[in-house]
Amino acid sequence: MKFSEFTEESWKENGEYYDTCLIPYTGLSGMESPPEAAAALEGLRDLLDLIELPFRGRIVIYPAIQYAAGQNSQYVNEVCRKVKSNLFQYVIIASAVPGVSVEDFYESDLVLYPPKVSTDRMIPLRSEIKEKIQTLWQGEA
Amino acid sequence: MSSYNEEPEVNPPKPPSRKEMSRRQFLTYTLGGATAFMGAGVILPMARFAVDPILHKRGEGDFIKVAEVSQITDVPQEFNFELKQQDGWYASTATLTAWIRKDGNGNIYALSPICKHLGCTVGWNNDKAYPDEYHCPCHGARYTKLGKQLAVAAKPLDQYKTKIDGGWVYLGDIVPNTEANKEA
Repeated sequence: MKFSEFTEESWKENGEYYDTCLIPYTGLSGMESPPEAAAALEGLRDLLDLIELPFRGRIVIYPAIQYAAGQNSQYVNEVCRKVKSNLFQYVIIASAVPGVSVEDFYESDLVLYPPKVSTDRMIPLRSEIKEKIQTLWQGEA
Repeated sequence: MSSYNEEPEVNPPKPPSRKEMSRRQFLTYTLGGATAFMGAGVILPMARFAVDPILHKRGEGDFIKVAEVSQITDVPQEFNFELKQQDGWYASTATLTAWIRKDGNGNIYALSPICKHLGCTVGWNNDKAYPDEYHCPCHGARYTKLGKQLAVAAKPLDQYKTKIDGGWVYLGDIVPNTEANKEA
């Protein structure tokens, strides 16, 4: 579920079940043309759709971190650390651009990238993503 | 004394007059009517646009062709299909999933995969510790083959309205489960 779908009451009632935070990371440099920026964000949107639907009862999608300001991995790690220490047990980064990894974002537990596949590959891809997240929860990552 | 005894007043006779519309009244009615007509011509289409989604039928009872009857076995199988939906003026396509099987009598039914706990998506036989059950990966809810809840969730999995026509399985609205009650 998106963070904006919770009310104070619903979070008090069921917040304990939502132990995983997903942070979208746009990672843009500002050098992208508008179509390139749109393509990157549409890819990120597709990725979020693949994650949100199967796990809407456990994962909370938080506001995105915009742009990659130089080497801002420290900043992203700081956000991950605070989010984990405060409310959540796991943090997943959904990155709009490839090239970042769990090693860069060492405070996160998993980094996922947008699908660069045709529509008919979406169902197998959904299974792959489900498997990665379930493996994370089972402590086998 | 009472006024009843008084002689009624005799009104002086009025000069005969024709009941005709004055020029002012004629102009008022004509201009008012024309203005109202033109106003209605502008406002009515806008009013209709404002309530347009209400005027359309919801499409309840629509069925979507999902799977061939010959494909269905007594083991639940996952089928994905697309549903065109209209939310106000916003039209979109949702991808839905159904787990379809047939029972010993050959009756075909389809379960919704949405867990009745918090809405994650369940899978069939996806937990080695609990074989031949639906299992929710989020909080461990489990359901039997008919969708009856075994743990965590308070209700059975919902099912789709089902229709068989021309060798195909058609699925309709999602409704509360009636199959789970048949289970002992």
